[in-house]
Amino acid sequence: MSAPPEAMAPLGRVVATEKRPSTPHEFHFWTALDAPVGIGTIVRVAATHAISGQLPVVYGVVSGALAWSDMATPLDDVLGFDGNPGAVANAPTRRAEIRLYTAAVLRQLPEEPLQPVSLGDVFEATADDVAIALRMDGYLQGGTNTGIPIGVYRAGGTRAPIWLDADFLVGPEAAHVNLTGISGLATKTSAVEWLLSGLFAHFPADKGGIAAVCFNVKGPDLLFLDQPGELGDDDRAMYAELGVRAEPFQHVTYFAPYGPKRTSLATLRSHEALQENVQPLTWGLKEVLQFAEVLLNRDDVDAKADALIDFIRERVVEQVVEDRMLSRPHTVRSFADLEAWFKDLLKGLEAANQDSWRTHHIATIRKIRNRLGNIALRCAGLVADEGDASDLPWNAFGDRHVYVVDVANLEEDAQDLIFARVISKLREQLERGELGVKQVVVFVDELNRYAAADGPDTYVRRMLLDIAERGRYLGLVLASAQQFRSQVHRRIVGNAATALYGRMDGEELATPGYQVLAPAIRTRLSTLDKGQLMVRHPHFAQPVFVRFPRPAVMRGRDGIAKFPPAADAGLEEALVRTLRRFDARVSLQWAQDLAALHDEKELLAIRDQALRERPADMRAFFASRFRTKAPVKERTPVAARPRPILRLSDDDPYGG
Amino acid sequence: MPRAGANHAHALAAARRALAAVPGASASRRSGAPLDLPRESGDEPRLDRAPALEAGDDAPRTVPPLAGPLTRAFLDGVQRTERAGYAGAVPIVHASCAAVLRVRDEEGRLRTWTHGFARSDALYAPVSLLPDEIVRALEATELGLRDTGADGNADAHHPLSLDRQALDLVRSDRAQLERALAERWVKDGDGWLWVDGPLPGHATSRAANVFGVVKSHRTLYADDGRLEPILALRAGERSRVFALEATTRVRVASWYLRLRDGSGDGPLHGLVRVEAAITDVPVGPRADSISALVLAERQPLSRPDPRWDVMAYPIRDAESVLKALL
Repeated sequence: MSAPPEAMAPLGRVVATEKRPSTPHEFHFWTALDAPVGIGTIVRVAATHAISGQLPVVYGVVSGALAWSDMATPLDDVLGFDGNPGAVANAPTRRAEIRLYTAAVLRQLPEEPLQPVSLGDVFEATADDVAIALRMDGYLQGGTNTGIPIGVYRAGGTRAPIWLDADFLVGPEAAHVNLTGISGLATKTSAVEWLLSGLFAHFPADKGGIAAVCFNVKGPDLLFLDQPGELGDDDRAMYAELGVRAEPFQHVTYFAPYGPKRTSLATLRSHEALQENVQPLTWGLKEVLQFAEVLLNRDDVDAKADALIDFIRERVVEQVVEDRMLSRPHTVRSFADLEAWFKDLLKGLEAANQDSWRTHHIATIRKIRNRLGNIALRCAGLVADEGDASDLPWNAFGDRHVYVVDVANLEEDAQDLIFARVISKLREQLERGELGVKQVVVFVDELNRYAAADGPDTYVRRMLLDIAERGRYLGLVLASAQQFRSQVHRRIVGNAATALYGRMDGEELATPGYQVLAPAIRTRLSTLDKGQLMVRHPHFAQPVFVRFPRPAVMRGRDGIAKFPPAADAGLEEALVRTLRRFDARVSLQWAQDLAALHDEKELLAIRDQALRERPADMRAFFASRFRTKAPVKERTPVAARPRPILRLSDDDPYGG
Repeated sequence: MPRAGANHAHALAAARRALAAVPGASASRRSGAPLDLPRESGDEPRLDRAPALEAGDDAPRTVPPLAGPLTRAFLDGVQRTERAGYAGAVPIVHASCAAVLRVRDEEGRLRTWTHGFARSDALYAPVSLLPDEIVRALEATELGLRDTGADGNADAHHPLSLDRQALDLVRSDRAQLERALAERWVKDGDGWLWVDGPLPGHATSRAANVFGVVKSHRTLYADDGRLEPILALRAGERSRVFALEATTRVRVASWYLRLRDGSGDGPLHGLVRVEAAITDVPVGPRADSISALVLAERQPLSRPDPRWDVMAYPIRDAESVLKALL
């Protein structure tokens, strides 16, 4: 509970001179030398002259600080101490000096008439003052509380929770949040994790369900959101103060494409103990072809090529295609089927000595064959040859559920494809109200790369722009982060109603976008500690500095240390790893027997099918799939296969 | 605590309003101009003889290092005069006087002592030369009227002489404020008090823990009229102690002390005269102790004050405070 204003001693006094006058938006005050005031401190000014019978109260945040002494020139001090700095300690008197602060007005009460700040005592803002100063009182009312915690304001003896307005964070009034700051020091990932925790804890129930889709674009940053992290007492105190439980996310599902060999997933979250909520992300031809333009070079693919792709999408995929140019009917469900269809068609055209087929020139057909064929190579692991998809739980997103899509180990093309399809699908389902939740927060890091201000006009950038400009009406919220805000497309960062800044680079701060900030604010931004943020939010007239707790989730590098990624597995081990969590009877010996008898590609296809269907008896499931097929390999003794180590059942790491 | 810069202007404005309302009087429109007085004959530079109080010859004495605590308090006073108006040819002067006693804390920061500020505001005029209605009007102001007097001497009716008489009374009032603060320190204070200028009043001139530091040397004191030993003092050296006595004041000990060398800056550069009470302590060692206190205040420099060579920083600080408050 804060002390009543009259019980507090003033910490400063407003001064206004002709050269340094007060204005309605700025004032100056002096303090004692030891006053707990600094850049970002929020203060309250009690005016002395009533207006219309009411004494105005002004709230401000310190945006500048000056100090000087009665010394005329530095040379006076040099001469005074005979050029010996050590002699200063012997001087009996310390020079008179002043601390003069400049504050930007946050709010004036009454709001009208808006007048220059008058002379008056300056007080340290209490927690109640902070709530009024930042206009949080408007959305923290009991019945209509839409506050989402972002951190704790601390200055002097004041600790005040800072809340964002959900209506301006998630929509419909405004939406999107953008984080910027130096890699490693700005704690961007931590800030997003904390923001999601707060959002999940406080998002008003009457606004419907909310989920998050996080793209993990580098290292293990987001791969241990369901594991507890280390917290200090100060962190726990902040969690308690802000009404958030200090625990990891309760519902997290991870998705990752397979590696190039398709035996294991391309993710660092591959430790056996963590596989329960890790799922493969694989798409078939149909899914990929919907977003083929993401992967195709626009300079290379003209209108004719577009027409052919549309034709294939509409008239070829998942249909039985018969044509006089084809030697046989084709059912195209996978890239392999498509390649066979292209090959047969071109062969037919050559044999018939024709240079076009159904208005499509043979050169266009060759080019598109080449380009689409490349997709399967460039996105190996994501694209399932067999055409069956393992995907995010469309239509069934869970409330307060985090879906992490790990794209860190993929080529840029594959990353773009995943972004494009996931976001498009989210948008489509939110538009129709079919997703399962009403709001989704999409976290995209490295926005410099995906939506560069001066980069090419890519499909991904257009999509991010679309979310930024129209997402709030759909409940699609972009939480974006980057190192250099100035290098991101202006309409994307400009549409983020809430902006968070961690430690900033001096060069970045020198760019024009930051000139609206006072020099002292910029200086503070360049020296922020980990866990500190500067927050801009529509309700806050000026930026405010807050401290937020460490996320209650395991840090990426701690997760890697505690749960080291599994070594790249051979076929048999990969089968056991992925299937054993559904059926404990799956053994290495069984997998070795299967591998000895059957083709690897076929085995992996059945594995993918098993992962989708999750039968209780895996061995029976595999047996049923092979029942009608003769083994493709001649059975050879297991001992004869080249193996570095012969594993007996006792050594089976997954049990016998 | 009066508001800085507010009372003087308000009081002057009130006095001018009062004068403007009285027939035969006129309010001055000039603002900010202090009394401009000609030099008096008594202001001419002169040499005075002063008998030696310390044994030994008049050779310079090197001041030993400071052995005890530093000076604890510093006293200074200031006045501000302005013509409020005229009654015929008789000037009516408004003056604000103030004195401050600043104490130094353990961190070396200066602050005003609890009982360390005094000020007065008044109108000054020769009552006998003013019409009754003007006197009544001036006495009715919140400032009050101080009679500067006027004898039968025709020269005394010269407007500049009237200014002089007013200024003398203002100075006296300022000295009274300083004296009151110094005596309060002698009674309630703890530690050495540095007074800017001669020791004010009898009680202070007898106090063991007060000394005065005189920066101007319109009158130079020398035993046998020998100035050379004084003007030849080098930094950190003091002269032989001599006695100062006058019918209007208590007999005190005094000596010259060179704070800084300044070849090319003249013989008076860095030279101060110190005054202190004559006590039971032998004058030589007492002069050494007090000189060490004075020398300890050579840093920090009181620049940009033009008298920085002889002005201690805490005295400049006191002047700054008075300037802000008056």
